[in-house]
Amino acid sequence: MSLTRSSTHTDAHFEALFNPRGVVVAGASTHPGKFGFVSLHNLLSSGYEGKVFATNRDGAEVLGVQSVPSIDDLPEGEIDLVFVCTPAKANVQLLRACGGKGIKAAFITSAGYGEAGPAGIEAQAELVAVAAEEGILLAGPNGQGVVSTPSSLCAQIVAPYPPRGVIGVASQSGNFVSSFLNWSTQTGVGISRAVSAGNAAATAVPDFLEFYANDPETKVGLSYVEGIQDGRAFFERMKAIAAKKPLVVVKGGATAGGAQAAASHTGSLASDDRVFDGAMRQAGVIRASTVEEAFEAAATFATQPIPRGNQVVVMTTAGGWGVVTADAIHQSDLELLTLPEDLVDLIDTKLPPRWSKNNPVDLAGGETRDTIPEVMEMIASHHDVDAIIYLGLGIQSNQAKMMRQGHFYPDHGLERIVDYHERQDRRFAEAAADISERTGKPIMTASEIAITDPDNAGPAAVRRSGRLCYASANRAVTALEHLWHYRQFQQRAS
Amino acid sequence: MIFILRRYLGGPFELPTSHLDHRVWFEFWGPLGHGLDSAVMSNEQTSPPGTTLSEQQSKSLLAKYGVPFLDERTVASAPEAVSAAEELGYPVVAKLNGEAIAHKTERGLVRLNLGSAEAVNDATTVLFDSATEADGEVSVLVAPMVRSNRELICGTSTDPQFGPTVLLGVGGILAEAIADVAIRLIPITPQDALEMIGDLKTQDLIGAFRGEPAIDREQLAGVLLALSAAVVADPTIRSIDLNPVLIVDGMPVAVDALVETDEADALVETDEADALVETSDSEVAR
Repeated sequence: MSLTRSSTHTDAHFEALFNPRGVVVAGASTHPGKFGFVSLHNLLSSGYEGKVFATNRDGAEVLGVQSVPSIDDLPEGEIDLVFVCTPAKANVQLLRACGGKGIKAAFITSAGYGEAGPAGIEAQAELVAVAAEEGILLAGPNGQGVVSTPSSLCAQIVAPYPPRGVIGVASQSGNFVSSFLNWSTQTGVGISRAVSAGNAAATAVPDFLEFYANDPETKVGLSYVEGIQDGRAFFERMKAIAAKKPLVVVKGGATAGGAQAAASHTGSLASDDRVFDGAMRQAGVIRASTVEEAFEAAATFATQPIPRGNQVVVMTTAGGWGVVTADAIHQSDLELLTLPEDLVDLIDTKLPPRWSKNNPVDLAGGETRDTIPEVMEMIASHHDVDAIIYLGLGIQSNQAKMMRQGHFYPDHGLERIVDYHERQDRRFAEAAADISERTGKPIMTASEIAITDPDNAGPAAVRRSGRLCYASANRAVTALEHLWHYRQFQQRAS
Repeated sequence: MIFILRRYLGGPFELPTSHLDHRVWFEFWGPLGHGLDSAVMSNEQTSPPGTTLSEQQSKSLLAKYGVPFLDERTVASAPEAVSAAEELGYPVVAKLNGEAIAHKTERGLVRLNLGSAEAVNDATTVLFDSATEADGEVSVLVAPMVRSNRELICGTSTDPQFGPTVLLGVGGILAEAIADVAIRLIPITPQDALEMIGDLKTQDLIGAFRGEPAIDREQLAGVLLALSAAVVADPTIRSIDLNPVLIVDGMPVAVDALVETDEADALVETDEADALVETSDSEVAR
């Protein structure tokens, strides 16, 4: 269960795990409640294009796949990955047979190993030894599975299969893989690879993260860890990974009570959380305190440019939101930029005199059709501005929805205004993405409507742009602060 | 977890009853509890008992790496103490010093605010008389009495998972309750040290404070770097406590030091350390 075992696996092994030419589900079942059925189901329904095989004691047909009783009955050289759902006692012989067929990677879901007392620990050691002898990368045991969107691979005993993207997930707990993938599915910010390390008998979280660090499909690492056996080695490895790509970590066992739960969960020894915290700061690893914070940090790394500085402008269509956002910025390491005079003068040309004249830039209802994209462009183009948080997206479409659902619709000009409102929100979302890309500065949209009504034209358009619409300005500030910390780390390292 | 917190922040704080006008000045009264009470030690099950250097030895060792200490003198008699006080200027503090001496405050072995030759002579005489056979060879440290209203803690410790670590924390009587600390793994870079200062939550304490200038961040970072360098140079150092580090005119100065090593003869492994121990012995013998 070490987190820090130095892997001897090569890139070819990880390629076999994440981009297999063919997959065999060992222990496929005809019972739709069994893992041996569910994993085959998920594999087949995610659009995997490689060859799919199955073994089943009786050679039954499962989900249209004609299984064979034994690995020995399968062709040689067509299969890279075996997904193992058979009982622990069958697996040593299974791995030997897989070695004979040229299979290079095994994901083992079977339980009854390191987590199951002395006999299980012994069985796990044997499994590791046999995999090493056969030249097979061993993932798990007691893990949930592996996802790799570039290969449309969903070899998992659980849902979901997330959209394709650039976040690479490696977790010491399988459930957190699901949590991250659920957030990905909901927000549309996609995943490149995801794997649960299970007992991490031979391949641990840092091993997967090291593969991601050199993986062109992955832009940011996202990880859940619990306990650490050799903190110093863990630190060195995380530091090397973070030097290549942003790496976001959530750690369980941060409190005394949590540490006790972690010890019984993964058998790992807890250290002072503040030591871990300091070590991660030193390593340039982004530490998040919750799953949603971690996902949003990773999603921001995946979809926004990293800010060059910490000077933020808040752009809002209503006063109160701006005030709360300013509070959040003051409590962070970010700063609310004092608006330069030339920028004030520039914005003056687009707004009636009642606008706030300072930061937050409160448009105070003075906007006409093109104001929001135009002012946003002015702010983002100014040299002193490092990032923008834009509030107010979706309120027009929210009204449009009420109009559409009311009994006056579509008369009284309602159809036309509803279309206009929704078109405007779409424009604003698209402008935020376009201007951000052109200026190389983060522009983050935040609205609770992202959650309360995800189909609203504003948040829906943000999703279509591939970006995250933050559920609150505070969450946007937190994510942006993580990006700023990473920028500082990059500057320090260079 | 708990033991590390206590290890770093010190054990129960013993407040002297005679003074402490915390409305205006925090007056340094000598070493605070350094956290080696029995409850703390009982948690260090995996480590054999280490050796604690005397305050004077600890300071000599750490001064080599650049930890700023007060200009203080080690003396072997009351008349020497008076001479030292004359040189340093009144008022002074006098403390009994020896390898085997712990709990100085509880035993009344720290005398504060000595404002005259007579006061120094009397206090030092009493200190030498208070020494017991168990204390072994003793001397007296005479130091200027420093006034400060800001107190920090710097130190090192050995984490069971991550190995040697360095800590910066807010000190004072509420230190344990506030628990505002930043920790890094040794070795640290100057940037790490500056970030540790920035990581403290009580940033108001770092800036200009109650009429005193802001803390010189470079100097404070220097203390942390010195501790890191000391542990790198001598891996037998198990822990270091600088408690308190007072801020005087914005500059950090450590007024107490305690170094714990793995072995009794840890410091005798180098020539420098050898000389250091001999010096202190000869001073005591005089």
